Amino acid sequence: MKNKHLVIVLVCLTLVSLIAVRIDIYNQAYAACHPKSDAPVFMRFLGEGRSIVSSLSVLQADRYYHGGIEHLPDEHGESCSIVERNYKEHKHHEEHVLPEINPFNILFHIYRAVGLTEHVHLHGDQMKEIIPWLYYASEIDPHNTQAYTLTGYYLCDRLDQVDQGIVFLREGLRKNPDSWEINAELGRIYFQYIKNYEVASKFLSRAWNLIQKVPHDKVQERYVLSFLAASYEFLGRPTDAIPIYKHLNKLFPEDVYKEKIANYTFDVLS
Amino acid sequence: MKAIWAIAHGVIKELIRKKDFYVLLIFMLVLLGFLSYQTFFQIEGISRYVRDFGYSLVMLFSFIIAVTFTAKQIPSEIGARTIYPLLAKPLSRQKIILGKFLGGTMVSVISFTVFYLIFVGFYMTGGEGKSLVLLGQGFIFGILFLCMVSALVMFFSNFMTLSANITSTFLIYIAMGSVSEALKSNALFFKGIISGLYGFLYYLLPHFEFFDLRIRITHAWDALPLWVVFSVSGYTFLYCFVLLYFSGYVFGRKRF
Amino acid sequence: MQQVIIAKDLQYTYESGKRKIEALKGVDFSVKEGEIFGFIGPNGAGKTTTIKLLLGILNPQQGALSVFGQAPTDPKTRQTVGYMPEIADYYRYLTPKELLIMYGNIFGISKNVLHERIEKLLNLVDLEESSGRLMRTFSKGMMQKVSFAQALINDPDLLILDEPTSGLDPVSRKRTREVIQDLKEKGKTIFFSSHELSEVELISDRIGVLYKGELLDSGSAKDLLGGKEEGQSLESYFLKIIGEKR
Repeated sequence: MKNKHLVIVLVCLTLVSLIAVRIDIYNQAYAACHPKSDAPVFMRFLGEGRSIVSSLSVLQADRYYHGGIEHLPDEHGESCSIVERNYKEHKHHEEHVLPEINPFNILFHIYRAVGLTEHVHLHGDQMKEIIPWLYYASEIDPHNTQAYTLTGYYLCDRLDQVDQGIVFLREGLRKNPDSWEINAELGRIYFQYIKNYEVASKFLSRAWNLIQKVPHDKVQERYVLSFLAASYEFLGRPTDAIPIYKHLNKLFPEDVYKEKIANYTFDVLS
Repeated sequence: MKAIWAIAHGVIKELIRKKDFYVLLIFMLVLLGFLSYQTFFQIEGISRYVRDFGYSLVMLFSFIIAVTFTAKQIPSEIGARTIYPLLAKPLSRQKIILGKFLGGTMVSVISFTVFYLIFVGFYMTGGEGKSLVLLGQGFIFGILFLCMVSALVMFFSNFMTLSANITSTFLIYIAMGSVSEALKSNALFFKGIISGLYGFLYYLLPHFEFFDLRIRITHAWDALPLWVVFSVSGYTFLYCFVLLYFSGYVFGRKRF
Repeated sequence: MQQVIIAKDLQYTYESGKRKIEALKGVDFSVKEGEIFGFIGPNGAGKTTTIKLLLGILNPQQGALSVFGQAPTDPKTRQTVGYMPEIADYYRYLTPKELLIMYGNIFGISKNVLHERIEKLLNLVDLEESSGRLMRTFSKGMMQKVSFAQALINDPDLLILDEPTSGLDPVSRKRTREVIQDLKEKGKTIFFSSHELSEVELISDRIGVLYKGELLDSGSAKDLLGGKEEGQSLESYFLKIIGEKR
């Protein structure tokens, strides 16, 4: 009787081992074709939701910039609170006039008093408060290029941390080599703060090549090209700068590019 | 009152003897310590996100304690059959409900006080715009919030199973932040019966968002005017009274 | 002697949807002061329903019930009543002492009297050594002892016991019986239900036999067995009377 049980146990164990070996072979073959992510468990758990969480983190940074509340620009480009915006939307779409709140309607009054609607911005050193959210946004989704460019901007332009900004943007570029935004931001920073126009022009010309492969608007084009042209200008390469200024002049005839072109054309001819 | 307090005291003993509170306390200390220790790009003195996380953790953990402890009070009495010796004592069923509510509230308030003190410790170590008045208001609002939560959970425990009760309260807590705003806007926007319906829902649901001073404390906004503190307190007492009144009524008619 | 419990035409029906279960179909009985009244009957006879009615946990749907001349639903009535349930898994995170303090405070007993009484009760049920231990470590028998102690915390004039000796070892059973007898000698009234017919026979002054919501017979063990064949026990009498009803 005892032997019978032993045989059953041994047979089961053998079967378990065989199945385990089979599963292991399959897993190894799968892993060879699909390299395992080195992202932390939490990030892997988020899966495709990472980009959403990352965007929310950027949004949170924006909220921090506005004193913790969400501000969205209204039709006239002014910022207002969400509550105000909702009322305005109703007004515009339905031509509905917002009724006056009954003075005895205590809950609505509490709601208004507890809620925050004032439009405020961070100033000076306070800007550092938004950095964690931007950092987390880039950590959660390394392909969120906005997180890198915004962090670069705040570090260099607002917090006087140019070296840190460049290191971070280069890290972003390593993860997103085809991002025109990061290239452009690095080019601008090298132009504006490091005054290394050679490096700046390399990043900016790369950004210019990349931006043409993706949908973009003329303002973005101007952002890249104006710094690129200026870099050429500082490098003493007017022949490279003039065609860019001419292109910019076509895009924005009202800007000052005509004068620049005239000066450079005169210099080159003389 | 002695009988109500005796029942509440039993619930407090449960908090002290069970591991739930200590687990959350350690978790909070570790998380806040980690967040404060973390640096970003060698920038010193970043404080708002630690405050933000800290305050959110305090409220969330206290909320968890309030919900889990209060929700199981009546079901566990029934499950363990201790409800019978309790009902056989010289106290009305309404007093049992009050005792259990007081116990749930006290337990969460004690936990909240400990969590809040830790948060205040982190709050005071760095950052700008420190306001003791605002911290005081945050403490009062936290207590009021936990009273509301306990009363709501006590009310639900008359109709729902333990898990349904906890889930429903969590959903209301999560949803109220956004639902309240939508209800209010719609109540103002629409007219007639639809407006009335939205208004009714707006008044019926518990306004947990009134107690949330996270943004004020995190971003160093001004303290609330005194009339708001009194109004929110009044609102809480009335809301709790209604919930407990109905709870007592339903529990009083319940057949065991 | 004063009648402590008076039940007249007591009726109670449980309704669950369309289903109706008649738990009590007009039960009449009374218990005198200082008497031990044993309530016997098979499962589902209506014993627990009767106890719940006596404690005011349920309201009688028909008939009249009074305890010390008052309605049991009035909390004041329960001030002098002690109750020991059949099964109760007392708060596992409390010690027996803390449980007794809690119940004592509900009764509004003063601190000094309470502490003195707790000492005595823990001694009485042989739990003095475990008084500081959390009840989650207690066996069923120990829980039963705690349950007995809590029923006595208010020094009740009426003690209602539901299966007081279930889960106890023979020594503890004997001890419980002795305590019940002691209480009777002190003039306390005891109403108890049990499956242990020999025990009921031993300690009861009067016995009520309940079956399917009807009180089939009541009286002293002698009366119930009187006129019957000699040597007949309560158990055989019980089985016979139930058999006749079936």
